[in-house]
Amino acid sequence: MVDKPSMFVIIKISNTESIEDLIMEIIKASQMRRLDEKLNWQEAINKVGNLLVENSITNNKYTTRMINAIKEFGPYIVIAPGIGIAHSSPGPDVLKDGLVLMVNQQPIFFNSHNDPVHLLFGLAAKDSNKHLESLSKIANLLGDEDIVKKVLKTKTIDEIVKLFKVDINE
Amino acid sequence: MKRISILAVCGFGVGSSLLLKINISNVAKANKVDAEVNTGDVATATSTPCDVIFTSKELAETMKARAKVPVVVINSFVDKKEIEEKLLKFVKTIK
Repeated sequence: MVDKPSMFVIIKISNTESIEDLIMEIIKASQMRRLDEKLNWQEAINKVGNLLVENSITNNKYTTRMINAIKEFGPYIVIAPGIGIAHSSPGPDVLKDGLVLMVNQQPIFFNSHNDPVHLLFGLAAKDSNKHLESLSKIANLLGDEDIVKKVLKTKTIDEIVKLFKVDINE
Repeated sequence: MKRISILAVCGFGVGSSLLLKINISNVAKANKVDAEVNTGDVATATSTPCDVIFTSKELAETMKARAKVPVVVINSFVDKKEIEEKLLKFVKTIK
């Protein structure tokens, strides 16, 4: 159906992946962990840091930097009620762009007005805006006021993955 | 009305400020506010030219002490209603 030849540019995110695939690649079951433990905020960040390391996204030094960031700036990473995004700046301790998620049934206190945290993301970027598209979708997802409640009600990691998939497709 | 330059600031200009930037951009578009939104980190934010800084409660005091432009505090980076309310409020002050 070409009415105006050469006047259209079709933009593809990539040749093989849709946005959903990108998100799912970022939040795979291996990059999610679910706990029911009492943790203080440093322990929580340590666990998220370990998840990043396990998935070859960063090395341990990045975990230390994530903790130091909060010591220096306060709990600014708790960006919405129940949700935190641990991260630090790009550096040699970041091996690739990545995002992990730790869900704790028990509350984690960061001394933030958005406490307690149940969904703690770990984000690492190598100095690129490649994450922008994916983050915007995750942002929409997180904009659902009930997302924390919904995630806490799930019984398995697969259910969480499905929850995110469903919300993305809405 | 000329284009507004907004700087979304977080600790390192990588994580939360990206989210904030995306949400501010979307809200601005939806409300037909002509805005250019960029991200920055605490260290460089006050030397980056802009019309207004949007940041979190934790960083607000630091920003207010150093910035020459208004600082808008957003309590929840993913709450579009809050961002919309505060963005429109700021826009009114510069009209």
